[in-house]
Amino acid sequence: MGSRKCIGVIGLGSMGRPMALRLASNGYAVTGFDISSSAMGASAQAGIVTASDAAAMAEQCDLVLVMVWDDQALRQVVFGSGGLVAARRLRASVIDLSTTSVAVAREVGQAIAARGGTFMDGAVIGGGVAGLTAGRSPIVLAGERAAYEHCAPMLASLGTCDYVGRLGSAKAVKIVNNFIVGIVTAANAEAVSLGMVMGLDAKDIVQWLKNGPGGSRVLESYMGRYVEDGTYGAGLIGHRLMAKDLQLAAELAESVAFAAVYPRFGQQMYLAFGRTLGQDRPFPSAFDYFRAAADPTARARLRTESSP
Amino acid sequence: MKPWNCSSVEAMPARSGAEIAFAGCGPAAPLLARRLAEAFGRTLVFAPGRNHFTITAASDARFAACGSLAELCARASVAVTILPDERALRELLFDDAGLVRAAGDVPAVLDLSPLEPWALQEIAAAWRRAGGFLAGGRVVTASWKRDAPVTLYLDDDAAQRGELQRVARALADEVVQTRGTGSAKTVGLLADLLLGVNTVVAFEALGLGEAAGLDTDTLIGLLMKGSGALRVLETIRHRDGDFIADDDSPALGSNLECAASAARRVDHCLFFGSMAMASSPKQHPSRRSTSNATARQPAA
Repeated sequence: MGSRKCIGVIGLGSMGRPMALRLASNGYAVTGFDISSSAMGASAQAGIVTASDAAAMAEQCDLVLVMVWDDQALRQVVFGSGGLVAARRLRASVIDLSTTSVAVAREVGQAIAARGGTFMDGAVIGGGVAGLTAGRSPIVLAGERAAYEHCAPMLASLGTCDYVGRLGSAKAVKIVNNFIVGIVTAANAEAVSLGMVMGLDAKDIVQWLKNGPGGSRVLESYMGRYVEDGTYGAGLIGHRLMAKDLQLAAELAESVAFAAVYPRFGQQMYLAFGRTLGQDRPFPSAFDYFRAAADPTARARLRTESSP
Repeated sequence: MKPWNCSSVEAMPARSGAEIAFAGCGPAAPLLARRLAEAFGRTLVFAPGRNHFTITAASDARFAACGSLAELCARASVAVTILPDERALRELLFDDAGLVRAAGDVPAVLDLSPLEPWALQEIAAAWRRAGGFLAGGRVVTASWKRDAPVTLYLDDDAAQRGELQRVARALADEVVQTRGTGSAKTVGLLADLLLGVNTVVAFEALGLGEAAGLDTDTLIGLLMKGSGALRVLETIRHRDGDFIADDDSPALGSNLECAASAARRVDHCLFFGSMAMASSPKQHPSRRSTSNATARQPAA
């Protein structure tokens, strides 16, 4: 491989694969691993070299990035058969970019440090798939400062990298960010639907509200796109995963004794959205829930779309 | 007192005055009246009842207090009204001693009160029958006290009267022209609804971040870079361990109540808005127990 740095990507899903491709196109030797054979096949077709397991990746690469579903999946990557801690020598620095809990990030960090390895927790806090592909993702990293200084340059082709403090802090930032995104997206959907019932056009509503005091990035991104082309954007998580993210916020609040009301409420709403609309429908489609509740025509159409 | 009745309103003779008048009360009144005075010179002020605004206006040389609605009518060509509710506006306009009964032509009215759109449509039609002109609007801001940007949503009816457009531009940092009589009331109501929800969400997000050991200013900067960016984060202040000082918040509860009332009228759910009503920063559960404050330690 010569002097090229080698970066491993564990988790080749909607965010992991574009990340791997972006790094490869910027001169890194990239290997990938996923428990899904179809994800591995699709990545191999796209030109990504595949590894046999996480441990092999940790022995061969300079940096390993993890992008998996949840705490359980992260534990499997680290502690499972062929997991990172099974490596003969943890050569790679490991950064977990998944939306997982502060507690598990610290647990994993301690375990990897005990094996002589370096671990940081991190998160992509905006831009989605398009941001990763274009190299404009805002990324946060936490852990040892020296580890940040070593790893951040390797992520420069993905976007900006901010250091946010001790281990677990990047997860806290991500949890707070996704809490805002989940609640405000659903609140926007509720408000736009109310405005339509009161006689206004959805496109006008979004246009008039987006720059005012109640404006937000998610109003402009999700509802703004929907009123233009009827879609919410590519690679978005579904209602099930947004409910999981809001559960993370609720659990974090409980762990630090902060009495927040929206996280648990939001989790329950997204579980309801998922049961009604489909668990993997993109989470901004909460708008369809409110429309169906308000408009008999929309309700009938939803029943048709949801029918087996 | 004769009950208000649109059908009994009569047309009035010609008006002689050309000043701008402000008839209002509440947290928005001082800033809006001041902006009018700065733009147009001395502003006539009429405020029902005795309150902080009327006391302040009485000693401010930029304002001339109107002793009666009759005087306001005789001197003003435009009246900006912002009153607590529909009933107060109807009393100002149509009551026995209201503007419609004054000796003089009724002024053009720009009403910024938190009315439902159907009420504005009815009142505007009645005012027209009285020979006057009334356009609806609604002002929204994150704070009336901390120089936060003010957005004015304005019905496109106002485009028919140049003086109303000039007044609107003086009142707000951004004027958004909406389409249809009453539409500005609807959009303003939705803006207040989202502002209310976003305010509570921001309060909880920053409080959670602080409790988890994050630096607040750093967190705000990161959120504004990412998908969690909110307009309200631009005006939040963090001082003395508090994110939103009690006296700086706009009337969150009453603004949200307007949305709730409209939602009930059209039989639309209001889950997230209702949660914000129950959890405004002033009343938030995290404030209710001192043990919450002392128990907040950075996560181990």
